[in-house]
Amino acid sequence: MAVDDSRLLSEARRGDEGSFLSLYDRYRNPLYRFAWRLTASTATAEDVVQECWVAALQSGRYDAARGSVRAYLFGVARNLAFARLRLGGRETEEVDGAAECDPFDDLLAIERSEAVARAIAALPPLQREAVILFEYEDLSLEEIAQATGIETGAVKARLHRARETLRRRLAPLLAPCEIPGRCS
Amino acid sequence: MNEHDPLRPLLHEWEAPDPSPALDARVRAAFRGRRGAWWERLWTIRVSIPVPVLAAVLLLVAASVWIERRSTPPSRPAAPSGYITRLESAGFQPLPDGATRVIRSGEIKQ
Repeated sequence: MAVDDSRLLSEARRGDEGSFLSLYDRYRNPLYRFAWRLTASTATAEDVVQECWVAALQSGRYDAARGSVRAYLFGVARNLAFARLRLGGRETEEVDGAAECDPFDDLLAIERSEAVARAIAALPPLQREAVILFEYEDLSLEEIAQATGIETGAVKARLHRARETLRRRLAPLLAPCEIPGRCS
Repeated sequence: MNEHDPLRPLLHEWEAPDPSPALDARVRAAFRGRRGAWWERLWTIRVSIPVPVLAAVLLLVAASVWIERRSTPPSRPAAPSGYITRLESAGFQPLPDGATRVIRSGEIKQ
């Protein structure tokens, strides 16, 4: 049975490296993906993840009564990511690997992927984070509310607005495919 | 949040890369750097006390100091004693070679 996150976190805070690494392995990829999608920068995403763990290891910050460790970590990461976006303007990089793929078969998929990335990047920051947490990291509405410090109803409203905007912007890609053999 | 919403599969076409191994090294180094020696960590320990509790403790300490000062009588310098013992060895002569002579009480001339 997996050890409880909050127990791992408290042991890690006491200096137990094994507990820290277990917890880190659980949230390494989700936190990085979230920070990367939010900031569109690998360097910023790595900085955010590192600072997120440093902040999480400072005692007295996490309160188990206020939600899960997962929601807490995403909350710390989103605060750090937004602080960086505010500091440096919006740092953007090309979506990794996009320029390296030449074959025509991949082109359509890359274009679709880039279109999604651009559509999400164009959302207002608070809607963007709600979509990323819900769609890509599978956080529940309650967890998103804990991570972002708002009511569940407000999360629902943000998600609804974001999805409507995305549906409008991505309408050409949502339409039935007109290229035979190119659509799954 | 319809499961059959065509927007969902389209959104999932945007995939995020995995973090680089360098990130793992950075995070581990940050953890080890933070841990430090036990005596170094002593300097970073913080204790949070609610303000009312702190105020009550300070009041208690001040009150106990004040009461202690009031109840202790002022100390006076020790007065000289009425008896003075003196021992003078002037004119003392030891017995020659330990020779002793017994004198009966009647033989003593006043």
